[in-house]
Amino acid sequence: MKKNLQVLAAITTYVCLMSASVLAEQAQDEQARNKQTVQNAELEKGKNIAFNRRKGNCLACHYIEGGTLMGNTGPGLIAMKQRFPEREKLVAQITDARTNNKNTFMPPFGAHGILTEQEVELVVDWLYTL
Amino acid sequence: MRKIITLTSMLVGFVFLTACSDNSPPTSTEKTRNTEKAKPAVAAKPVNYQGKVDQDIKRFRSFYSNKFPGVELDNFKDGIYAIDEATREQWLEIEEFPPYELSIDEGQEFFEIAFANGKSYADCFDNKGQAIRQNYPYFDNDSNQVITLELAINQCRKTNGETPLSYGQGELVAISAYMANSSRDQKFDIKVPNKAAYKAYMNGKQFFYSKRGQLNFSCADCHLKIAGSNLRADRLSPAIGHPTGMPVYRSAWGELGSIGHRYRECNKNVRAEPLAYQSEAYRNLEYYQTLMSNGLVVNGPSSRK
Amino acid sequence: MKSLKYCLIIVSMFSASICVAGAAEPLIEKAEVARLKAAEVGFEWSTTSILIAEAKQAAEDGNNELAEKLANAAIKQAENGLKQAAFSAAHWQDSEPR
Repeated sequence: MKKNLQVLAAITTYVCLMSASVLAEQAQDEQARNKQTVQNAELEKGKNIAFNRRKGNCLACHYIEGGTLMGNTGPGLIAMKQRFPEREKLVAQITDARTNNKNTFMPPFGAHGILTEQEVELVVDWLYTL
Repeated sequence: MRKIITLTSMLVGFVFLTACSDNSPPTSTEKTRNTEKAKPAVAAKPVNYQGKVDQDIKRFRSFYSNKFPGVELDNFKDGIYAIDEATREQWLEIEEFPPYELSIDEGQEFFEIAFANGKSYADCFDNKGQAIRQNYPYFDNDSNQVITLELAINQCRKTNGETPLSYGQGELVAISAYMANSSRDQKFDIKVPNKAAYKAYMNGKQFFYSKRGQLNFSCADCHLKIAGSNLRADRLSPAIGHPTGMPVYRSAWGELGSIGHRYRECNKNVRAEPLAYQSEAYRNLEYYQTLMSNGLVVNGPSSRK
Repeated sequence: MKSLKYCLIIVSMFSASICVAGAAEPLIEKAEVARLKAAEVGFEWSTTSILIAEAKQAAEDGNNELAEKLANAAIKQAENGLKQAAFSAAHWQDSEPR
């Protein structure tokens, strides 16, 4: 009888432990999923700013995968991680391309207040997915 | 001995004095002589302002000829359709039955109506206002400014006691369209006769190459450097041949507009505050741009994208 | 006693008017002056007068913080327009075909 009770207790403990860990895993999953959703939403924001004609209007000059009616005066926006390994350089290029080339025709998006600092950061986050 | 010393010192003193007088400022007679000498030198080599401008025109043209090697120079009068084969055929068809045809007829009616004093537009212009578009804009020495055809139309009204018309679209532009139509196939022949004219020309040229607006674009950025490239779905027209087809019918407007109307629209596109119609800066820009199109023929009014 | 009363009324009216005018007013005025300076050299941006109008509206609505923010943005634009004028005067010939 005593042994039976011991076995039962062991089983109960095991089941309890198992379910607890499953629950914990589920919670972790959900957290990760939430984080992913937030991240995706931020990336979507960056993309929208880039595509918006009143904001970045990047498509006016650049090829971007998934875009329509794209211009061809600037380089295609592909392999951004390889081309701009340093994030600050990409931020600087969008904020004020004149620092690299004073006669560039790329608008100084940050310096002229076409985009806010935060908007530039969002665009850069999204650019690194290309 | 003392005599010799005195003589020598006198001689030295004399030599010294003469040497000094060479360095001293010239007397009034010398001054006149100098200016007289200088004058013929200047007159012999007057600054050839037209020559300087012709050099610019040459460079401007070869830039576009190199960029668009297949395009005949004369065809740049067609604006974007000179370089865009894809839409050229369609455009030529549109020009057979153009959307601005009625405006030319209206313009003729306006042109022929007599003013209250019995005179009319024909009395204000050379050759009764026929086939003269290619001579505008010109530099007027009396008023020391660039006179565009549209400004001249309103000046004609003023001298005859009529109220001026508005510049962008409507009656004045219809008159301008009628006058351009009577000048078709005449070659633009704009001149820079003197220093003041050259100053106006340089002012227009500087405008053309200056970055403006929040987007920081110059005319040259889009219509010279990257002319022929696509901005979104639109191909950028070359600046050579911009003025030839004015006034212009744009489908976005649904009617004719003057070159000033187009300038204002371009400025707005780069988020620069547009200047007033017929402001000095716009007239100088038109002067510069038309000079760059010298030798091309008038084909205005025209329809362009 | 009566004069003291008047005095109080006047003082209270004065302070009330200061409250209505708000701290954004001088900044908006400064923005307008800056805009005109840029316009004088032909380098005004089309966006500046819109910002100033929005700043005025915000001040009227009592949103002083927003009004100041907008007025400052307008000032920055006008200053950038002047910078652009200076840059163009110095560098316009760089883009000329040789």
